[in-house]
Amino acid sequence: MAAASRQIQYVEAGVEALREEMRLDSSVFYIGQGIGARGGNYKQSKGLWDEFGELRVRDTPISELGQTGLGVGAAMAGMRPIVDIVFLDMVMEAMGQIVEQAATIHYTSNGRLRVPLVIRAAMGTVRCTGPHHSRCFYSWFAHIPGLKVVLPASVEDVKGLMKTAIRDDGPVMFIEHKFFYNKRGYCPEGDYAIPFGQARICREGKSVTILAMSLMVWHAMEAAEVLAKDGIDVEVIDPRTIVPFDEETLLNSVKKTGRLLIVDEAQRFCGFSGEAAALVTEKAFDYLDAPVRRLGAIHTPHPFNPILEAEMLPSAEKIVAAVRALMAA
Amino acid sequence: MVHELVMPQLGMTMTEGTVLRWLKAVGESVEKGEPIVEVQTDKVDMEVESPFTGYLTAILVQEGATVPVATRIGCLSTTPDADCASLAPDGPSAVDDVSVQQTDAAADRLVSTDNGATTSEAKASDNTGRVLVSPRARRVAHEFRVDLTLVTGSGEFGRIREVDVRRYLEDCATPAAQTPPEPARDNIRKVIADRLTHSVTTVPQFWLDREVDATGLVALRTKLLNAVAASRSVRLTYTDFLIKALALALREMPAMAKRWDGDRLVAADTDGIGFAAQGPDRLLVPVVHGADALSLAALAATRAGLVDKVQSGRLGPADMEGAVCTLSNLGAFGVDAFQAIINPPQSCILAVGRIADRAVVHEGSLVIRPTMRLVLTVDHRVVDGVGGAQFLSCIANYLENPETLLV
Amino acid sequence: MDSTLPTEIFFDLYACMYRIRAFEERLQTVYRSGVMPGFVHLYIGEEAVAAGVCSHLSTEDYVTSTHRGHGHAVAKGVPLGPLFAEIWGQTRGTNGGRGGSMHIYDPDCGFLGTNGIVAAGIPIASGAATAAVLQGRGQVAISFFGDGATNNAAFHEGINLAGAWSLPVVFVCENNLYATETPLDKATKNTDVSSKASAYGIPGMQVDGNDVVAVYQAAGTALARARAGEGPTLIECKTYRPVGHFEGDPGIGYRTKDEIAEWKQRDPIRMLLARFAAEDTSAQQRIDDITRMIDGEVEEAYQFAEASPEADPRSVADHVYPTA
Repeated sequence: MAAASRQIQYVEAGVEALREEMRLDSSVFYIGQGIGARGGNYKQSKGLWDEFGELRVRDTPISELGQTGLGVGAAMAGMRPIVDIVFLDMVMEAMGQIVEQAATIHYTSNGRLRVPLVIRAAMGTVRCTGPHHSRCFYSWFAHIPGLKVVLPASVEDVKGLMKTAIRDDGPVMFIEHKFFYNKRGYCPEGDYAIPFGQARICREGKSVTILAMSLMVWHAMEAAEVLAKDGIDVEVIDPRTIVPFDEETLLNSVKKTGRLLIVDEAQRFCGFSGEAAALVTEKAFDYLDAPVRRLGAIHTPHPFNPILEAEMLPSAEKIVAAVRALMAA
Repeated sequence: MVHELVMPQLGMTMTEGTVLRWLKAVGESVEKGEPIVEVQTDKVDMEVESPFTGYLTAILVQEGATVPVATRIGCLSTTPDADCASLAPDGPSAVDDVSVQQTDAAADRLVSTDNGATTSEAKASDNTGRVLVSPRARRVAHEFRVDLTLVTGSGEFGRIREVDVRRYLEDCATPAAQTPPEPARDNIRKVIADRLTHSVTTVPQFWLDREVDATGLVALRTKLLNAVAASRSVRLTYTDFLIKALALALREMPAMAKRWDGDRLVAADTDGIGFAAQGPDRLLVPVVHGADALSLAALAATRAGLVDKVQSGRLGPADMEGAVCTLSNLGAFGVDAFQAIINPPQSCILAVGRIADRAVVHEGSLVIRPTMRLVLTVDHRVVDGVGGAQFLSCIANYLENPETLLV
Repeated sequence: MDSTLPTEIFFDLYACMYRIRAFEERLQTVYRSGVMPGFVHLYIGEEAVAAGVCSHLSTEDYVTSTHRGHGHAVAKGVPLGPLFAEIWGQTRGTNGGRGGSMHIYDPDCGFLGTNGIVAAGIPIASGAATAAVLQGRGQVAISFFGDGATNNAAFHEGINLAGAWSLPVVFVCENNLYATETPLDKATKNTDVSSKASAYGIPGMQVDGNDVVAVYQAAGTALARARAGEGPTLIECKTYRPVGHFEGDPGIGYRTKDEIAEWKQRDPIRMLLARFAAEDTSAQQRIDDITRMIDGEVEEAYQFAEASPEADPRSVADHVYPTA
């Protein structure tokens, strides 16, 4: 297959990044539940244990708090650990170590100690993953000074962003979407790192801007195709990283189109979409031709029943309807 | 303490006014009684004085905008920073804060159970007549000096968006259209047009035509010119005689001093005689009160004073209040006779043409005499033909025997 | 005198304990004068544990500590001046005054932090031990914590992981019988902390935490085991704090004066000094010299801290993220 069109799975791209970084830097090691010989729940560490062995690719007991605290300590002592929590929901068990320890130490130590820790987990639903395996609360981490928050939404991006996460000297929340893992896409060969704080304009347009996170980027692109038929030209922006956030790309887009819809799988209320809306209202007020609108999950826990789940979440159809309403506003 | 500044009622007939010029800027202090804004009514341009001492803390109606009487146009406060937010919501108010605060309070009470796919933000307050303009449209309008009151919005709730401003700009091909039109002139003509249309379509008017012999009038006036000039330093005019004649005739025929109130006749609670006078840019009708009791000299002086105000643009609403009927004299323009239109709620209007030498029959012979044509327009709801004729006759008698005006 | 140990060790242990004591007492005086912000949890009475354990450690070894960790910091070799300044919130502190008493970090001597979150340091120590294994330089990690931490999830997960992975870490519990005001027997059915080691398949030891020699010996055994790759040990040191939980807490609402008086009889420094014969004049001289020297060190430390320049408000946003 020609290099320019190399198509691999999203999960394979992540493994590629891990493998390459672990070869480059012996201080990188990987721990988590089932990530050793088994290769991970989603095959997200497949082959690493075989190549790097027990000490650098180590299964943990079901101890999210302990694993994460262990990661913090190892990072402070000069290593670059990756702690795989597998499901974002389970990160809750480790919140104290993330927020009070990892995020705080560099600042509180006055820069004397670094915590180059990557915490990896998958968020979101893949059809009825249910109340304990579907959450998307990445916004909470954005609220904590000291943490970086990464939401890779393409095969090319997950490899480049993973490398940057591992090379970052501070704690990084690396949050993939379960839905992406087995999807194929273009992935460049070799070493490339995508800097944090650089959004991706997935589709250029003049009528309206959609800022979408993670899986919602894919739904937004689908909606854009439908809307194009009616002459509504949608610009889709994938921020890639919430912290640091690429303000400039979003603001330039809104200045061009005058309309913004923010689409998030997380609950709409008190999520990052509110932060983005406030930012735009503050810094691009005179360019707004319509109120900033947000599409997010209805404010409920995540139901198991497929009809209820579909009702709760945004979809390409709902995005189309929301854009149409925004055009008429 | 916050006080509202409203579009004042300047004159009984005023229903709306235009803000011409703000004399103070937001944040400036102002004394009670100090002029704070200039407004235009259907009749006059007026300076409005501040009712309070304090600071102008908000301007809610911009220059050039026309609003109904009693609309809140600004806010005054004892401190420089308090704005209208603490006042009760105004119907057509342009204060944005109020509806936003109400929406926020609603959101606090209940977390929304929708996901934003539909526009759940429809607010009753948007139907109050406020013009909604997107910030982007406002910016473009400002850049191209477009008067947003002339733009139609195509957004929800009638919101003006950028495309609407751009469309308006395209439609205005001429450069003149890119400068803001003068709402003042439109406003005046509109009011006049409305008033006259209203008069003609709702008041059943008939006309009585009478030619009066002005020989005596001309002679008396000539004789009294110097005396009046000496007494009041004014020039006695035929208008003065006409006003006096009308006033005395009204006194003799109180039936004329009435108006139709929909289902009954009501006595006019006033005695003014209005007379048409040409101002710098339009016709105005100052009113003389108590003319029946004024000497010709005093009447002349009063009349002259009012004309002076008209010509210098200083005529106030009080100067135009309380007329029972109006005198309109186009004689100076060579008009022999014309039919004037009644100014409701007045019962009649007297149109007077020029005094000119005409051939008339006097005691069986054809002679040349100065005559004057009077045409009285009468509101048929107030008075019938006979009553009108009698009234006209009364006026004519005074004019043909002008020495009776001095009694 | 315990003949199994070289005499020099006793003087080192005395110096370490007295350094902690003198430092804490000076701190207490300054704190009571009202010039220090925040609050402090003094280590007075528990010196034997820090001294007995940390005397085995080099600057390469790691320590995680608690909210009552000044003693650990002193014993681990954090310089007294910057330590005093940090507790005082001054810019000359180990961390620019940003951390204060419960967030003291000094990577130069492997001190990975006092901690405001009870038990949080336990898995962190396991992490440092993990790094030690990967780096292969023979380092060890010590985790200090109190009886209150033993009922926390972090205790369970941190120790269990260390056991499962045979990490070179020693878990040292300073059981002073009270978690703030809650006595241990109200917090758990099993008040024998050392017995909890068996739940993780690791050895547990219980010692008199006020006998610095006993602590020293137990720590030595545990550390040898760790350095040999035999995995972690849990050492329970039974000790007591005659002072309140924090400076300002009278400490008697939940304890009896008799209990406090009893434990004061067993003051660890006095217990060590009692090992030296009164007639041994050279030893007494040595002890006096050490005492005087340390008094000087502590006074210097105070002066150093006191002379700190004021913090620059513009630095408030520095170090949120590491820059390259």
